[in-house]
Amino acid sequence: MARYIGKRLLQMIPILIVVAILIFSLMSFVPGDPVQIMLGDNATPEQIMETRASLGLDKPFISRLGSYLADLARLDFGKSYTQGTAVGAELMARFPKTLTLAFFSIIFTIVIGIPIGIQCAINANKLSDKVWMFLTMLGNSMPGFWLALLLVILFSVKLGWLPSSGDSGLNYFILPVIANSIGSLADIARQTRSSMLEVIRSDYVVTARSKGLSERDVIWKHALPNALIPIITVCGSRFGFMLGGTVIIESVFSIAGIGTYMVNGINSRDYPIVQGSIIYIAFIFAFIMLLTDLIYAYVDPRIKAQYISAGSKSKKRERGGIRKSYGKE
Amino acid sequence: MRLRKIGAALLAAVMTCSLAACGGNSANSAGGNAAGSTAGGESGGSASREAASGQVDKVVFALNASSFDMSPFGAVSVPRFWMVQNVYASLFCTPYYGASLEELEPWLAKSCEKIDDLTYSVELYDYIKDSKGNDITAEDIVFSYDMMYSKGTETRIGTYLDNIEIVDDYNMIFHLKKYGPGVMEFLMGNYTLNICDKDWYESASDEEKCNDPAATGAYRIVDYVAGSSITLEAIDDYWQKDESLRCSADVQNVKTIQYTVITENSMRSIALENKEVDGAVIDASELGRFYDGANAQPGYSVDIEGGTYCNVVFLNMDSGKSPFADNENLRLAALYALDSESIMYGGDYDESTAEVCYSLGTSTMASYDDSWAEDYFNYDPEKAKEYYKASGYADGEVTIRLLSRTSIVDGIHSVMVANLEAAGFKVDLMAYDQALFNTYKSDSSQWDMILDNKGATGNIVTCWDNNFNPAGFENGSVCFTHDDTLVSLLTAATTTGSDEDVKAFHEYLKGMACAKGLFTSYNLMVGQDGILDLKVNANMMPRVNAFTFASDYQSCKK
Repeated sequence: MARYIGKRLLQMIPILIVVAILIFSLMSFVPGDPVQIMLGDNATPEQIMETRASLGLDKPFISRLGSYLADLARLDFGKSYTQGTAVGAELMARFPKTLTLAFFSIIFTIVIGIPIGIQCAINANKLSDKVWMFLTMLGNSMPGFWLALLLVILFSVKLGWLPSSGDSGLNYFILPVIANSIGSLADIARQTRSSMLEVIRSDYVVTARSKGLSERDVIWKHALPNALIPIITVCGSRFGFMLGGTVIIESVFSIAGIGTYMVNGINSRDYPIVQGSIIYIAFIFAFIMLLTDLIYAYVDPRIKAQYISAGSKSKKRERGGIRKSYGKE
Repeated sequence: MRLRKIGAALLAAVMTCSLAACGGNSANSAGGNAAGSTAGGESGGSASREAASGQVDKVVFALNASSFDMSPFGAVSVPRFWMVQNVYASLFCTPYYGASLEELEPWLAKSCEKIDDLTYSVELYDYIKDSKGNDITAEDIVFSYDMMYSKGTETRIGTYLDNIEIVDDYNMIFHLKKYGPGVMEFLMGNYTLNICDKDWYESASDEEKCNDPAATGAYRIVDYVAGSSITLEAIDDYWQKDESLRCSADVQNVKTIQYTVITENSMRSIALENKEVDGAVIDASELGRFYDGANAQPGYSVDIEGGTYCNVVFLNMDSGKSPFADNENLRLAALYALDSESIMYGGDYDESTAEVCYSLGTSTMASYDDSWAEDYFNYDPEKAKEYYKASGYADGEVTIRLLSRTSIVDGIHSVMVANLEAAGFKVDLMAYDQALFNTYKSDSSQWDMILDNKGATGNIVTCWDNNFNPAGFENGSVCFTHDDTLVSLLTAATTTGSDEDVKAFHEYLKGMACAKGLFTSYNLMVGQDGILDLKVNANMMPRVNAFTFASDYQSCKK
């Protein structure tokens, strides 16, 4: 298993290199001059040229790409043109806020969404199922910013229970978490329902019931674990997206997270910010996908067996290779 | 059937809740600010209360942008302009927008004497120390001006200043490249200038420069959470001990100023209503929540200051690149077609939040002449049609590429397009983000008409100079004019600033029919009950340290 994890971690390196080259190239060729934005309307053409040279933007593309990749190898993401701060440090400073928002959002999504989906599957086509499915459809189609504003008006302005914006305490995250979760929650509830419906009708569930197991045991111990794989996939990708920064929720609630940082960088053509943020997102996404695969193995022994057998096969291949080379000698 | 009924009832309940939540503030939303209030510091709500005699403990003020750099010579941003004079001093302080050199208040400099038009001697106080105890001398001033220019914090230094000659530690001579209204005012006391100690700057780490810089102003940074908040604290042993020598910028009416980032317009208003912040700059569309057209709503102070930026259209004058360049009738058709007042309303503004401009500049700028309003391409759709016909084009034959920004309210674009189409033009609206807009606006092959926002520090001739001085452009001017008479008239106006020269340039520019100022939006600020007077700096931005507080003032965040 450790071998499998190690292999997947190593696979991330070429992915990140490709992402770095792609984003660097895209940012270099996209129209919009960061220097003109930095210096404003009153800069003379000479000043613009001088600043461009001081930022190294006058060098050829290949030379800039080479030094960027070399810096990246030293985990140096460069300095923001507009803020003068190190991008890596800034990402690290903002990561806890994005992580808090994403972590509680996914927990909220799972804790509420999966039970709703199970209840809907158990009571398929009954009134409660239809009501929940209607509500999840509503949740899915509601724009996040609109829901966020409604929540603020209700819980902050009308009731005065929660702060309307900011990120200086856990209570500041309650409304953003709810606004951020509703769409995912609806998705996961629907996904759980459909997975469970498939499993509930299968033979082994009928067998479990016929053995006289309680309905609770049948659902939670026999049906749910077998229905979890597609649910985990959705949760994993949703969590990955959330960790990449939810721009609208961060903007509405003034949370200084990765999303707003990246959007500010894009608007001001601050190349180091955009490049650093994209590489961070690529890493986080690859890492979450690895985590998702490991959770697959945890909930489904068959998948775990596959990983282990894949590891031992490659071990055998290596051993075989060595024997062959001995044979050659 | 039963299910449908339940579904319908549920849907109705959700919609009712939503509408109730949205419309819940109707009591506070007293709109209709058509009372014709003039811009210029109208306050209300708490005016009759007694002012606090000493320093109040804390103010929490909302910042409307999250991206800023408070290190010395940091990149230009709106939040920086609000705070820079809290943390860093300049030679003089400009007490209000458009103040002349004689009206500037000494800050680091004790005096400024004119030797001749291009030479001024400046003397510093000999006891200036920054918050880290470093002495500030003439060498630091020269270093700071060099850095501000080379790092792009204030590029106009290079346009105005030739060099600074150090006489001794506390005396310098400023040698200028040009003279005229606004030049020395800018170099001595512009709100963007900041001075810091050379040795400290060269030895400090990047982190220290951003989070704990050596402050020459009356406040130092005590906490900075990137993108979220910044807290300033009054320096107890501030170098200027003599209260009578303090200027508007270094008064310490507040012990702690906490700026907290709230970027969304409506969320800033909600934060004010919820008592989460003590003050905020608000958007015109939000003013009705705090102002009834004549007075502030109970519980608030409102400050309305004149606009310093003019929304203006320029027509492309580059021959061969635009149909406007060689066809005066077509230009006149476009300018007469644009209804400034409707465009202003289209942007969610009204008379209490904006006013129409009648030049490339605003009425708050020095040298602006009110009589210009009488004849300035004033909206006349019939005249526009006549000029269009006279231009030789058939209806719909000319397509204007209108370059603008996505940040501009759609209503403004809609009215402009409707106005131009009514005159016979076709319009291809090209609204881009700020970065693309900045790139395309200097390229004459990209647009025929551009909607931009132009301002200046104090004097209208500076605004003209920024846009028509060929030294600042690769292709003539902001709209690619190559006219020697225009340049010589500009030189005269910017050098003498006399009424005749200003008028001559205005008339000539109008005669060229290549630009039209549309409207300027006022700067709107709201404070909680307890803030008696919301002061602004020389660019109409909040000067929180100088607010006047009631004796019973309490910050919303104790």
